[in-house]
Amino acid sequence: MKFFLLLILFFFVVSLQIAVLPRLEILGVVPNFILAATIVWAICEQEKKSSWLVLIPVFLFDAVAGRPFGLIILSMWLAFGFVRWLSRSLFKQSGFVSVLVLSVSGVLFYSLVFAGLAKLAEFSGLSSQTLFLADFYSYPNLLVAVLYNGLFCLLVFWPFKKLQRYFDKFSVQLQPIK
Amino acid sequence: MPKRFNFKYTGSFFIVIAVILLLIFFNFRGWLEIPKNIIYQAFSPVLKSFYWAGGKITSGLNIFFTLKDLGTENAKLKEENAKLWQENSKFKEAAKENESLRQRLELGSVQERKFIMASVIGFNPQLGQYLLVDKGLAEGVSPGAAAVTAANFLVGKVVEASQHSAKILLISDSNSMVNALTQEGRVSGIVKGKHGLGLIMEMIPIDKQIKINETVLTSGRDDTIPAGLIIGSISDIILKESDIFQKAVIAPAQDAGELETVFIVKP
Repeated sequence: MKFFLLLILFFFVVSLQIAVLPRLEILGVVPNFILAATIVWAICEQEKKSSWLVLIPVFLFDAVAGRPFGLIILSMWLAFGFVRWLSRSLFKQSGFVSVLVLSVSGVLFYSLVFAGLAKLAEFSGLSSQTLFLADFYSYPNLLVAVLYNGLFCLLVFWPFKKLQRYFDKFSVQLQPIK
Repeated sequence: MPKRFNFKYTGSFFIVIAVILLLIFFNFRGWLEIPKNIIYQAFSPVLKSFYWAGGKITSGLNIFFTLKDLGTENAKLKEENAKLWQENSKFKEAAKENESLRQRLELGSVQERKFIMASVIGFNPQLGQYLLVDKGLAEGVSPGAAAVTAANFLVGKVVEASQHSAKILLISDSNSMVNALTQEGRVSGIVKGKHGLGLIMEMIPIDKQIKINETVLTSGRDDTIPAGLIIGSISDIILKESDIFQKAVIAPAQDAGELETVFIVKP
């Protein structure tokens, strides 16, 4: 039941990202809700074995809107691993400052890895189209992308924690009484 | 006591990377087309509804931001409408004369272009500025085809087409380059996108005259983009003494964010 509800939620989130969130564009940068959710999941899901669930909405997003397929999912998974490693080794997840630093680091890491992989895809012929004729993003655009998405991560963090508590309570209620 | 290295977690992390790389390889070979089409078919009706709803909410909210300018804008539009009406009637006369001369000289009538109407269902700026539409290879869309609005304004070019969907790279994207020329002076140049923020026309010879508000059209030198499509109008001219070419900032004819339908030119 929990998995089915999550699947509906993922469907909703991906549709929102592709069809609605582009209207919140600022200076050519659109908030990436899926990236924000991935980073927040990496911060929050410390000990649980459900890391792979984050791949579902990312895969759906990449399958529908990625160009070429695979760059988004690979970059997000690497960003997920990076943020998880940072949150375990350097930062405690609960403080506001640590959440902010982790969010911005995660977004910046994702942007850089994504740009690097896109160039690699172009040179290795995995992408049939020329992806970058101009310099990637230009630095002001990259700064706006990192700040905007970093802020979005903060906005997603607290609702995510509440949702996590709801699903945990839901799972406990469904446990058979021994 | 030092933390033990988590081999299980690291192992599963790299296994997932290997699976992703495998999926990328499968996609490159074209083996993922069927599952991608199934996923797309499942999303398509939902995306259409969300895109429509998003458009309605945005246009509703925009009223509050533009309320104070409505009076001025209304007067400006009335004046422009009257001017366009006059020009339209002049062009209609010219078109009739053109048709009659073509018949007399036995040149045959102008070939009409065929279009495929597609609904915009999403917009993904992840790797460039591009639109998702609900028509693909099965409906006759081919990669490289130009996409225009009902008023013949150039929107972009199809860069990827699946069975029932396509991605259109907008002209405002940094990777977009279109051969163009000015309508009155017939000065040629290349229109490039600026990270989704606007357009710039480059490689304009320094000795050629261009004017503010002059319309910029496609020149037809691109293989797949026909001539005569409206790109925008010149809003600023950048001319430095040391440069051998001048540049012009172009105000696009159409805001891509407002699009609900595009027309893809059939080859």
